Amino acid sequence: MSHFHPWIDGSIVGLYLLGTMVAGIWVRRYVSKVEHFLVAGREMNLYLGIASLAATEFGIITCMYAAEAGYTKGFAGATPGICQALAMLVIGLTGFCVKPLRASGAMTLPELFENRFGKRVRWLAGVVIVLGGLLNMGVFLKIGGDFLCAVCGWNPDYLVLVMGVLLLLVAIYTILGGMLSVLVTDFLQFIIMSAGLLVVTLLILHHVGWERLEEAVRVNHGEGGFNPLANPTMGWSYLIFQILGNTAATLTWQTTISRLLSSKDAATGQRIYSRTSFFFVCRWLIPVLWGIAALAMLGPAKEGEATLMAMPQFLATFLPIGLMGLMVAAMLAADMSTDSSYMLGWGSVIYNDILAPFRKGRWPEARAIRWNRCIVALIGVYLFVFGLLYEIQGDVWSYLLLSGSVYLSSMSVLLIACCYWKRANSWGAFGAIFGGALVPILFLSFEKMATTAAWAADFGKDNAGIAAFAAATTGMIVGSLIKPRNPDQTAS
Amino acid sequence: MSTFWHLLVWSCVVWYSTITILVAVRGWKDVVGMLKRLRDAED
Repeated sequence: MSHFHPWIDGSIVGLYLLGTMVAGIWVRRYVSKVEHFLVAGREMNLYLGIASLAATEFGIITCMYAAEAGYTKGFAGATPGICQALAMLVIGLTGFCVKPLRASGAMTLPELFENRFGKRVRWLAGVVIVLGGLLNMGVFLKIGGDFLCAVCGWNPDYLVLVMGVLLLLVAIYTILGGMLSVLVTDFLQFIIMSAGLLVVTLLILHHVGWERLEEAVRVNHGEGGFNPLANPTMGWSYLIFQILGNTAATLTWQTTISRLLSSKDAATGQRIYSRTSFFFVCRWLIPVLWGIAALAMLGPAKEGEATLMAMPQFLATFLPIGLMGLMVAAMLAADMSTDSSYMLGWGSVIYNDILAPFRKGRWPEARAIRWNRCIVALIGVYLFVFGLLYEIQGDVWSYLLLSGSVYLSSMSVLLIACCYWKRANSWGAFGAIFGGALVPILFLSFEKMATTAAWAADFGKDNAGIAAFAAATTGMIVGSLIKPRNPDQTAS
Repeated sequence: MSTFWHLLVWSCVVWYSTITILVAVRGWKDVVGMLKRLRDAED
């Protein structure tokens, strides 16, 4: 029985939703150009950037898959967070790739690629980014709805209604205010989200206690619950894929780099990266701790039970009235900031790169903004339909990283080659895009087919992810080397 | 390894609390400044 009180907790959630909607809709008056809609006029400063990046990269989906990792793998489940924090820190401090990217003045990655690899590569890169990104975020809404139904004790039959309302609220302010509304609401959502995350974590550490948490990990997972290399479900292939995937995400994930591209200058963008880096440890370790608390209090899952739902089931009875409202508001804040940024992030690539060949000349600002709004609305419809139809096989994080690697592998190879390899050319770019996309798409298809499902399970998502990076790199090197050199370029 | 995770958990709590307060104060100034610059540019 959930402790969610309709009036007390409901009022806290209602107050949060009202504040967010008013702020999100109010700033739409500042949107007069497409640059305001997509990159907030490039006026974002350091602390707003930190709030926005942190709020975007933590949603209900993040909390659910990280808590699932804590429940099924113990503390070792937080390994991806450490990998991403290190990648963020190194890239932020050195400016590796992100400095030339921000200095180019591009609004999206494919726009940068056009200068080096041509218009066709820009268009194809846009398609791959959108394909990988939408496949990835398609499951967000359903998992968000599942979480809310579980912690509030609502009938699962209301799932479609919860998903619809959640999407509608996010879509309204994103469609009206674009990146400006996203940034302002991200700021409010970061504060609410952080307050909720910290209060619940302190309550768990106080009431459940460190000894009990540690014992639950030791009894259920042994040494593998503390050390990823000693865990039979992780090991070296898991670690290598996490390092590759998280580094590539830091360099090319559209919602992450859109903060870099919205920043005032390259130096501000780099500071946002380096100062947000430790957040990525918190982003994983805090929900992992919640998952371990669920393991300590509820025990391990029985055969056929969904490990993903253990954490919300635990919170539903652990938190008292009042704090339950704060936690639900915090999770709604986290989810709304993620959904809005993702809708806008992929929408910006569709408008800026995929539709670019169909635009004859520069569109008037009002028309361009209208198109962007329609694209965001269509992504919302897709999210709703995909969320209802698709069923994930295996753990959620592995699915997200693998579907993301459809473009993470090829785009990171393209970006590095574009910035630092003089010999890279359009043939290499096509090779990298096809190689990087083919492996994950084949693997996800094999998983769904009865005849190949067993082979796919044997091969594993981690190996498929590593293979995608290897295929993209091979494609880039071979393609670039076999293309005959332009005599003018050779001479120069 | 347990001590490592214990220290990391408390580092997260301390760092996250500090950054939340810092961002709440200075992020608000950033929001106001950003909207002011956009309004001035329009005028």
